[in-house]
Amino acid sequence: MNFSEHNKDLDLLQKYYNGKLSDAEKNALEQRALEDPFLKEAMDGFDEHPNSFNQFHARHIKGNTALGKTMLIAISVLVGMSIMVYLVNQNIEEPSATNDIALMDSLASEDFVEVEVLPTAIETLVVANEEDLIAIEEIVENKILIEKEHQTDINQNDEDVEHPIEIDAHDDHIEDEDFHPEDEHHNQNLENSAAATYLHDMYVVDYREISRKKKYISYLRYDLPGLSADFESEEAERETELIEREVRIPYMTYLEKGMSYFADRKYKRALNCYSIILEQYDDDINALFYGGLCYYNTSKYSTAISQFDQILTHELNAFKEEAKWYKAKALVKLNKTSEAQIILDEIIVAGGFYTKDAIMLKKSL
Amino acid sequence: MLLGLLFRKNIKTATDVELVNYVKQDRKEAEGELFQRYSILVFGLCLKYFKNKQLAEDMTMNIFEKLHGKIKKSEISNFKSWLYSVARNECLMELRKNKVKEADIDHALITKHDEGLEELKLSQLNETKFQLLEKAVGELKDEQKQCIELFYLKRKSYDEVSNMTGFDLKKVKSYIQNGKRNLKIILERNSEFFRA
Repeated sequence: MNFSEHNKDLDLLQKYYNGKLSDAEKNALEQRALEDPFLKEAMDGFDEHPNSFNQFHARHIKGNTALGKTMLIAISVLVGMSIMVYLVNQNIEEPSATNDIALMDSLASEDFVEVEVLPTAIETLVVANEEDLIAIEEIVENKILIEKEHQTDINQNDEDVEHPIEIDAHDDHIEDEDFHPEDEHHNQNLENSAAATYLHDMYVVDYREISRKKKYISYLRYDLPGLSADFESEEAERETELIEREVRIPYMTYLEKGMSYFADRKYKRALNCYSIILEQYDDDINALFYGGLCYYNTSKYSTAISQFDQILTHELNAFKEEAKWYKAKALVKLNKTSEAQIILDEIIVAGGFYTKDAIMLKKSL
Repeated sequence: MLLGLLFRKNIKTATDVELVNYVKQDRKEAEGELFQRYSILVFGLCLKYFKNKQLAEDMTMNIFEKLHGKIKKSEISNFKSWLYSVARNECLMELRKNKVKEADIDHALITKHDEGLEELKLSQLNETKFQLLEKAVGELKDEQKQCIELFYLKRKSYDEVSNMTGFDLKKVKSYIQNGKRNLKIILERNSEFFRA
């Protein structure tokens, strides 16, 4: 293989595992893998271990810009030296570019590991007990079933379950269900569903398909220079040795970071990502929903509720059923039983996915 | 230093064959470039065999450390395939060394590989073949039929197939693999397919 072919492979894989490929593109890569055993086995491994691709890539694979950076450093050194020579001749003190060059040099040539530095407000949160958590498994499984129900509703758009069956007294046949009502969709939410994709098996609205002014997230990135023997070790995060840089990365890449933390049950780190997103996009529905779940999982039920409320009145149609259900659960946690009952009744009447759960929860109050 | 930079630029655009030759000449940068190109595939493979991120990473580093010696001793025409069999053998040897019982080594790891089913390359089918293929798909068990149709005919990704059918990812892959095998058997029974 030559340079461009395998580079394309690596590039495709990176996009595949970061939710940047369309469904058809994903399918094309998967079909290719079925004929390339090496690729297939590698992808099997990555499929079983979410985020392992990104972790390995971040630690070991230099981006394409590594060469560019090296050239830039080489040129800077030459230019710097020329300036120095000129200025020495002019007897004026030269500006020193060496500190910047040293920093760029170390960033370009060393492997470094990003560490999360959490603001105090998030650092001091305490993750709730196992039985009180909303974990990824629940989110993923429910979403599959909710989507299935929506699909069934689309297929049944000719039938209105509330339409009464008329019995003609003169005829012993029952009027069949060919009669359909004016509006095609029984489920009011189906028509305006936002474009979506999955990151770490979790449903997210795909903002690349929606016009939004900015497409990037800016944040302060902290890196520990040099390889850490155990890249998951928290003892390695000693702040005094960290390199701080303001970076700007595409929204979906940053969101993937948050989703990866959530999938690993690192709710505080995930919450940090979602909070940073909300600072820059205060109505980001993914950050509102998954951030709300993180607040729930750290027992900040009121904050969770306020985020879920924003989803319920959001212009985008996503997470509405889930937001309502988890709001009800949060109200129960706060012992606001009467408020919870109102929401649970609304869920029951709507007849959506959480109806049975709502009935059971209501009974237990 | 500039010469070094120029060499590094060449490395990036060199073919695998050229890199292997550089490695035989003990040029360290070439080894580094091979690592850049292939370590992640090796890592994924080790992840599949060892089911543990740390072990997989250690094994990957191990394999690449030994690569120089192995390359010098071998005639390699296709580096990617060669690396694949090296990596696989190292993993299996390690698993056996750790006294993992033969039976416990995931059967899937040592079975023969899935061969491509040419017939599923839809663009190469004429109308007759296409109809025969559709009929053959119709003879598959429900789950295999569903997954094959969604994956090959509707070109849905594994994720999408999983969402639409409710089967988990592993099951989807297995239905597709078994479905393909059965399709091959059905198509071979019907020799008309190959005459069309």
